[in-house]
Amino acid sequence: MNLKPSHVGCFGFILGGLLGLLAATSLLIWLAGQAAFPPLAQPVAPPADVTLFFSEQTASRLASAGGPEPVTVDFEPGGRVVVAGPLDLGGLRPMARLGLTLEQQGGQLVSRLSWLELGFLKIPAGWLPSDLVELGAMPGEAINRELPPEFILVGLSTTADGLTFYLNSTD
Amino acid sequence: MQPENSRSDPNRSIGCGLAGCCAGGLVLGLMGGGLLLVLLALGTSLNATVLPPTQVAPSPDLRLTLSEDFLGRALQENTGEPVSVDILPGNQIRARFQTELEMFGAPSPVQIEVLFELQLIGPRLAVALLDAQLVGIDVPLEMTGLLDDDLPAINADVNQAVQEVSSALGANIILTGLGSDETTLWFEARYAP
Repeated sequence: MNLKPSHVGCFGFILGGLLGLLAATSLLIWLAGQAAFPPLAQPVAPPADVTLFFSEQTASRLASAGGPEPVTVDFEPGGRVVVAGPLDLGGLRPMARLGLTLEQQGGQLVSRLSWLELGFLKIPAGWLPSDLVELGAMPGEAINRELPPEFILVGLSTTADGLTFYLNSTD
Repeated sequence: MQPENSRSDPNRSIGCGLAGCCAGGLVLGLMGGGLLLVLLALGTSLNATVLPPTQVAPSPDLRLTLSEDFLGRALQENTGEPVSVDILPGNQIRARFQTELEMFGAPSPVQIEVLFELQLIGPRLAVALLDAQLVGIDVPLEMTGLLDDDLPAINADVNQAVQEVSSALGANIILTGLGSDETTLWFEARYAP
């Protein structure tokens, strides 16, 4: 067989392209595997003056109140929550799912982004730009603003049904 | 002379072409494939819709639980008098407080123990007085009418509090249940359809 250098180059280019595509797919599959919630221990419910339970439906309703499109909130045990809704991304508004963790830290609720899912693509927070990662802190800040000032947060738990705040009176 | 010969060797040039183009294709495939997958993901997410969460078990939209200590402190704050509160199963609350009663022609400090029951009548919460007793006095006084004048105001206050919670949440909520155990009292509510 008489192979010309140009034929070999084309063959190499196609082979390289296929290998590159395979590598890119493998990388995305590996990324999706990395995009998991960190292991969080479900804290024991502390004794509290008042506990306030919000169902997923209520949380979704409150989260949707600020915008024209619906946002759904799906709680999982261990302080994990998946928020699904439109995301502003370079002028586009794709539907995204944000994997967040909720933690109580010194009387405050702290939320952190663990991963972002766009269609079939799931990206861990470490691979995302900082402005998207900072987006994960917003739910915690919004909830802190809504907590009545005469109460202090002493605990937090999530179940498949919803979210429970444990509050103590500051009086 | 040797380097010139090897440079013009056709086998070597084919090998270099294969390696060079393969590397170029690999880089282009990696970048193009990555970009293609990102664009595909973005495309599918642009047309996606948000599905409402599936309800795992029937649960209220909201549940507020109050502890015995907190309820005692709240009552004490409202009345300005020390009140001891004991939450009982069956939506009952036993409260003991100090007051003055006209006895034998003169006001006398007495301790009164009252037993309330919280009832849900339709969507409205009502407080019913089940029993009232003078503590430490064996005189059987008719005291069940003791708070008759105050109960409508108490009921109005309680239902006003529910309305305030509704306003704070920006939606109309209705009470759907209440319950109690030895130490806590809870209220359950749903959004009005």
